[in-house]
This record gives sequence, C-alpha cells and structure tokens, in this order.
Amino acid sequence: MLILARKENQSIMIGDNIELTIVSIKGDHVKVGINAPNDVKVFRKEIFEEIQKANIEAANVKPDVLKDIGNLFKKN
Amino acid sequence: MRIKTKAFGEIEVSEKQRLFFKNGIFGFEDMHNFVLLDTEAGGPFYWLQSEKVAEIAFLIVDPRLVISSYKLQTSKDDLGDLEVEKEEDILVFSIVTIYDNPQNTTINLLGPIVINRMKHIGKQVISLNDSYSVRHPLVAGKGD
Repeated sequence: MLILARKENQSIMIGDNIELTIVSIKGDHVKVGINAPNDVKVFRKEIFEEIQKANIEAANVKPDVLKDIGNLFKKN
Repeated sequence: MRIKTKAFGEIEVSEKQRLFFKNGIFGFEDMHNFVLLDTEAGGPFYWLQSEKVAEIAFLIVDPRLVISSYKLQTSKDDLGDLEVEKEEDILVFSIVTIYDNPQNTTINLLGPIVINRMKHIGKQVISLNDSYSVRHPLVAGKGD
C-alpha cells in the first residue's frame, strides 16, 4: 500500500481526474473531499459490508415465506 | 439442464433462464452461475437460484413495486461489465430480506441486482444514488 502524509487542505491526485483533499482534521475525525467524474464509484467501505451482510441474511430465506409476503400486500 | 433448487427441489431449467455473474454477489463472490425462476407469488417476485448450491437462493423483486420512481443509477464500469447496449435490455431487481416477523421484510434498493436479459449477464451493483437504503421496508410503515 502506498502511504502518503498529508496536511489539511493538501490533496492527492489519482489518475488524471480524481482528487482527494484532506478538508479538515479534528481529533480522530478526518474529513476527505473527493472530486471525481460522476461515473466513478466512490463509497464508504461500510456500504459493501452492509450489502454483504444483508445478502447473507437474505440467502437464508425459506420458500414458504412467500405466503406471508403475499399476505402483506393483500392487507394494503 | 437439471438443477437442485431451494423452492422446487430438482427441476429442469432452460439455457434462457441461466445468468452469469462474473463477480458473484457480495458475500458470495465465488458463485457465478444462477438461474432466474418464477415464484408461486408470481408478479414482480422471482427466485435468483444458485446452480451449484440448492440452499443459496435469493427472493428478488422489482423495486418499482415499492418505489414507483426507482431509477437505476450506476457507473459506466458496471454497464460495461453487463455489456449493455440498450437500456431496455436491462432488468433491475432488489434482494428481499425476510426476518422472523415477515412484516419487517426489507428490500435492498442501494445494491440492486442488474441483469442484461439479452446477454444473460448479471451483476450486483451499488447505486450511485446513495439516498437509497440497503434495508428499505417492503410495505410502507411496516418496517423499522
């Protein structure tokens, strides 16, 4: 892993058009600004982990729950 | 081709039902081959069934059932992986998570399953619209 030391308001370029800026550092809290083209995916890593966790729970679905799902809609 | 399924036991599936997920599905990255099966509930619900492991099947639903204005916003990379040529070739589904109390059922709007129905390629993408939730209530006012 490449490790670069940066101060507040300093930036890092990734490729030609992605810029990471250290906006502020307060205690253990670092604010990072990201300038990237609209079609570049930028996510907090937690999002991947949340989706993984939801998928693993979802894979446990029992086929007989379909009746319950059908009922949810009937009541509305 | 015959496969073992969670919902229907061993059944015959056609080539047309088969989908290839190059990257698997988050949490199941080593599973690349799935089939799309109708459910008894019909309508907007389908099974995304692993070809390899009968126990691995996801209930998926058209997210527009819940949010009629739902729109897929994804990256060029994702559309490239899906080999998308025309927008109308794309199907978008949300994975359904069911809890002990089915009234709390949620669907994943942030990480939809996108399928190129012409090329039989699937991918779980992450929506560029991050106001969508991973656990959005299936029925309004019933989730937590």
